Amino acid sequence: MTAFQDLDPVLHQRLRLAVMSLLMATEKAEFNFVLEKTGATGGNLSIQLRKLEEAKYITISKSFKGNYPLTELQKTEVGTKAFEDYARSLRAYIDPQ
Amino acid sequence: MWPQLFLRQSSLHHKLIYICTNQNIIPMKTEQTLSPQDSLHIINSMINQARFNFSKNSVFFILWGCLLIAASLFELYGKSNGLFYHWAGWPIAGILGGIGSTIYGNRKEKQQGHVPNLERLYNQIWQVYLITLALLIPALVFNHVTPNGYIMLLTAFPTVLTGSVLKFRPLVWGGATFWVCGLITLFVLPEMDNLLFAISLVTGYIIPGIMMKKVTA
Repeated sequence: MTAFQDLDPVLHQRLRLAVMSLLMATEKAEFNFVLEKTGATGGNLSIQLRKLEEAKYITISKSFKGNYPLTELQKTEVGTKAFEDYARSLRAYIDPQ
Repeated sequence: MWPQLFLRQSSLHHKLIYICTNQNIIPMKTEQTLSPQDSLHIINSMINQARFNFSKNSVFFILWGCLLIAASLFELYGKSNGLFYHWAGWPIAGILGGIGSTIYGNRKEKQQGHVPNLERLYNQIWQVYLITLALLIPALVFNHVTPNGYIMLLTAFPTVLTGSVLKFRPLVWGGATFWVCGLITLFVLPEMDNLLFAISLVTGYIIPGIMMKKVTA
């Protein structure tokens, strides 16, 4: 574990990293899209999304699309910066030179 | 015996969560086992899945290409046969293309569930083009100038730019044929404007559109 001490603990978790990676490639994404792509359970995804929201890495907005509730996720500037830092640290671990 | 077995299975179930992707399945091990390679793999596979979809946008090029070719050839036929409404194909193509694009675009947005980063830029490029076109055509017609050559020169701009942004060379080269055909229309063969426009639409929209669809498939 010592080798990973510098990596952001919020992002260094499979599901949270997968969610942030999806959001990095999108302007915004629906909850169901993230659920489908990550293959996570609804409950687990909700818990991890809350952690990302608490860290201010994402924003979650709720509205209606027709008669159906719509939950949309968006990365924030803080989240983008954290992801870039994480990717930079990761590169340093893989290729220290 | 069975309660222990049940507990063991239940515990395994909680420890092994899987991230399923279209191409592969990433086993969700405990956080301690997340190596840099695992992280990189997750990042790559997720970003690939949320990327801008070529194939879905190829429909717009094929749709508009077909409609505008039909309008151009109808104008050519109309002019050679002395039809008063030889220009009527253009507004009809515009209305049909607008309706078709809106219906398809809305359906695509509903199914997609996300807005890729490139999509906003892509939409903005074509919106600016349409606004410029809507201002240019009446201005040219008002000044008794045949607009086809200028439309071709202008159409090259969003087409080449889209090809560059998507890193799709057939669209870049196809878009460049609008410049070539536009220049030929304006300086060499003004009477062949409709035919040159139709040719540039085949090379600039139809062929790249079909190739785009095949590349993604």
